[in-house]
Amino acid sequence: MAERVLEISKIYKAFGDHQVLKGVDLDLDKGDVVSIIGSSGSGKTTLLRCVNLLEEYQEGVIKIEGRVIGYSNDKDKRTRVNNKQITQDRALTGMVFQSFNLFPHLSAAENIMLALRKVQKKSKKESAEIAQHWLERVGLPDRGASFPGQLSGGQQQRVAIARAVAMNPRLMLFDEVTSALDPELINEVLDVIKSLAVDGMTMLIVTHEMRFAYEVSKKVIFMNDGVIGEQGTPDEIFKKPSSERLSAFLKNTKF
Amino acid sequence: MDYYIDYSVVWRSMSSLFYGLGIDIYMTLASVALGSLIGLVVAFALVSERKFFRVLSSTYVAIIRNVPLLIIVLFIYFGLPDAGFVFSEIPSFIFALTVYAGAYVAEVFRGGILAIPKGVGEAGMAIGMSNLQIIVFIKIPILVRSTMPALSNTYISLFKDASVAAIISVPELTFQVRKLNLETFRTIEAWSTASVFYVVACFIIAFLLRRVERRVAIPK
Amino acid sequence: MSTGFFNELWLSKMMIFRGIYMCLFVSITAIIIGTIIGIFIGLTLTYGNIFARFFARLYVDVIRGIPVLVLILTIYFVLPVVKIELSALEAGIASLAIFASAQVAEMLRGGLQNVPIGQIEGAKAVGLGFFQTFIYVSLPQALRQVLPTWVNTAVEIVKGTTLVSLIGIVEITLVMQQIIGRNFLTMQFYALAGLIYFVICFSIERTGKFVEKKVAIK
Repeated sequence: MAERVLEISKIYKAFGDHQVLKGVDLDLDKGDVVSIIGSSGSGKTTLLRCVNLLEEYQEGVIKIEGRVIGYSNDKDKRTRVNNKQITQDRALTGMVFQSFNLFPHLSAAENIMLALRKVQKKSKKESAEIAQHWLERVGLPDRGASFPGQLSGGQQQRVAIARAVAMNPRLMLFDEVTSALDPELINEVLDVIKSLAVDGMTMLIVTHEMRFAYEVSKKVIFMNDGVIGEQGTPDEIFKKPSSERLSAFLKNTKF
Repeated sequence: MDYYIDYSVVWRSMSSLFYGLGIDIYMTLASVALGSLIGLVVAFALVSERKFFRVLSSTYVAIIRNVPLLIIVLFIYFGLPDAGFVFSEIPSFIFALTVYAGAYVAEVFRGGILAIPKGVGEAGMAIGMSNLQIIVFIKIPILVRSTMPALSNTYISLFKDASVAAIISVPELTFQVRKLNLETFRTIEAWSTASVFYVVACFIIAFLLRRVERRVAIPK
Repeated sequence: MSTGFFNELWLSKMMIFRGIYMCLFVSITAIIIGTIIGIFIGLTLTYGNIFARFFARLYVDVIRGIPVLVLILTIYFVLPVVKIELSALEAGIASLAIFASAQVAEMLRGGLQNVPIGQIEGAKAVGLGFFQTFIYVSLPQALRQVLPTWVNTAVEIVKGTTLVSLIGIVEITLVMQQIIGRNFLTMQFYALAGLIYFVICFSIERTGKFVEKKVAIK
């Protein structure tokens, strides 16, 4: 029986007057790799950011491993849970950002170790070992002492991935992680993500890299104007699109 | 009157001039240290999400930046005794310069906080750090290192502002020079020496601060 | 007690107005003269030959290296000795003007040098000469960049007028001290001085921000 890691039900979110998410449902089981594609403004990044509560949403329920996060429904009144709870809930997921967001004043190894020591309260020795393990895993075994400013974009992003997975999250969230990279640096990052998928990491990936999405995903979701326009296996989406909008979108992309 | 230049009076008073300089440095260090702590707290209040903190801190900064240091000094040294708070000269001045420094340092830190990319804070949130942890382990270290150049300028300005203490008879450098001038009438010698002292002192302080800047800068 | 203050305030109102007038007179004169001198020195710093730049740099670094108070006292005491007779008022305005000129020179140099080099190259590419590039490309951008800093210097000059009370110019601070000498309401009248300075400086700041917005490049 597959364990349901993520359950998103009927999410509605607006920025002021602009409704960005108009009722989205999405489920992920353990080990699933799901890619979300779509044009800018379709709401895909916003959806991702709702899962780890970097964005608030007005309606809907998100459950991680069966537990409701973010909002509670005491006495039929929807209230945001307190900050302490949100901080704990965020540790269930790991996120990798488009602009890497490494801590510039810390070395690569220290970037990975910071949360291990301060959030998971691990010892310095243990954190250093975990950090070194993940640096090797992403292909940067001897770059632990380098600072982000001294690393290339692809290297920084791989450190960012290591930083997120080192926390042993239930679910990894990738937000267009190669969009800010020079073309020749994209593959090293995609390869790391593929190897994480092979190891069974549950992942939700927002991406523009169509071929990568085709190769790595169990399911692909096409978002359009705040709702899921179409979803299915990679073959169904990329080779046999059924909707007009999806066909038009794919025509304008490289596959 | 000064048709002959005689620096011997200056040489004879060197020890009191250096003593005065020492007092300047002491007062500046004390005010800069305390003022920087105040400025750090005020800076976070300035960018806080809570209106109460924002209003309180911006009022403090606006008032201090628009009132001359001398008035603050006179208020504390001569005025506060009316309300029962009596301070002697040097503590009064340090009090005044600390309050003054706090506002200026706060502005520098505020700029630095706003310059931290939003994503860095979000990354901290994504790995499960609490707001306080993000401020202490990520924002403050980045802040202090990136604002060092602007801070250095502020600190040097504060060192020069310490000369205002002469007006309430603190025996710092400017006071000593004035005394020398009054006693010996060697105006050119006295005041040129004052200028040299200050220019050289500022130069040395700037040099030292630049070295700190370089050591502490975020590696690129 | 506070009725005593307001009573004293009313009695002293003419003195206070004269003090405010003197503060504004000294500030505005010093700012204008200082800005003009500062522009010349700033241009020299940016475009001058190596000798001119050396002396300009020396001037700016020395003036900026000494406290305003020391500058005021130096000019007041030393100039008579070198046979330049100045009244206290003239000496006060002169020192504040010199102080301002060094600031203006440095900010103008910074503003002009910060104009992106691509702009200068673009101007050269379409055939603009040195002077034309300066007037139509560098200067407009430099002035916009420099405006907030100039407003800051203007505020510093106004605050600097407190120090000329030491050489006997009857501006706000000295007026308050004279009033306090009569009625001993120390805290109240120094607080009033602070309030007056705050109103003047804050207004200058606000006006500056307003002008900034009006001339900003969209």
